[in-house]
Amino acid sequence: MKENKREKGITRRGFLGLMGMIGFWFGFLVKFIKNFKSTIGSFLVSHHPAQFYRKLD
Amino acid sequence: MSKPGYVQCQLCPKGCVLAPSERGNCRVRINYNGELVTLVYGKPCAVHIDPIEKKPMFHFLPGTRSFSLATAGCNLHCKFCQNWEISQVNPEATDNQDLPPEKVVELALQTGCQSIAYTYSEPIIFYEYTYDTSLIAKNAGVKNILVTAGFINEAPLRKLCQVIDGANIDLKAFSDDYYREVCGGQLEPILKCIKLLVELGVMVEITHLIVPTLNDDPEMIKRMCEWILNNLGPEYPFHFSRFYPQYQLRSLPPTPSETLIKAREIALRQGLYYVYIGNVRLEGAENTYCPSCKKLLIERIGYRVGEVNLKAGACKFCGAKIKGVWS
Repeated sequence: MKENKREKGITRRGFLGLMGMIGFWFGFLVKFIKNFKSTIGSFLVSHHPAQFYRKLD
Repeated sequence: MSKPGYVQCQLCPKGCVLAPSERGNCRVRINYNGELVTLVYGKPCAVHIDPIEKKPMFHFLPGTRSFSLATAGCNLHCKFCQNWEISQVNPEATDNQDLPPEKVVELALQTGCQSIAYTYSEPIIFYEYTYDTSLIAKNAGVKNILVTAGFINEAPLRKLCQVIDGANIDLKAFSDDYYREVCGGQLEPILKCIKLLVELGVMVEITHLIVPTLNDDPEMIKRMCEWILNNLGPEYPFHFSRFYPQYQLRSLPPTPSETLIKAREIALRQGLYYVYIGNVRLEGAENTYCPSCKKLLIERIGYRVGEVNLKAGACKFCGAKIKGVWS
């Protein structure tokens, strides 16, 4: 019978892949939160009439 | 030239021409459907109660507290900005409070502040908020202070001066090249602003932040003092402030104490009466001395006021009148 030489536990390749996946999703989450904050922020500013300007119509 | 839907902001000398939905250089004024609107009215991102000495205003109700606020944005972009986290970002990126002008004045009164300071970033860019709050404050007996770079057009400044009692102007250098390259502004409008403030009866103090290698030339400091002396007189307080590495100038060292001491000596030698050093603790450099009898008038230890030898705005010892707002 052929002996199965595969070791138990995670391989180096698997470990790097996992780290890459975690990095990708972490980056995605950070970007998402930043965009979300900016979107929410746009509702938190006012739109009060300004003074001292002229129309160029 | 006709440009349908475009507007031109006339608040500061930049005169930004804005297409629909475009923002000004200050980040807080936007062309909204052909009308200019401000995004920061009643939305301060920094609200604190500070000693008035922190502004710095040394000849304005010493020892009192000032209700201080700021919104995001600025019409200058100084590479050394000490408050760049709020001045160089859009108002959507800061944590803003909902604080209408009436509420600001109410809080100032509740907390025993005798003045409201529009400070930290640049009060000119939140002009409408500053003006409306100042008007209510003035009617309620609370004084108003601008801590500004002074980069504003004449018409809005004249209107603002009707409600402002004091101003600390940050004169960043006495060189137009420096203003253009390091701050994204111009020198001439700042000088005009200072002269107009004095002409309209606002108590002015001037601050000069000394950045090593960039604006620490003794000759330039001498010319700056000469200008103050010839255009304002010797009695307007002048503060030399220490630079700490910030924002885009982190590679420079803090201003050496010797440079600050030397600058103060130059200013005193030129004939200015009240010259101070700030942002660093140097023995006696924050005290006010009588220009006539040379005796100690106001002792300051950091932001704390110690001995005061003033009587009705005059020296207790010789009776010389001292420039300032004392009550």
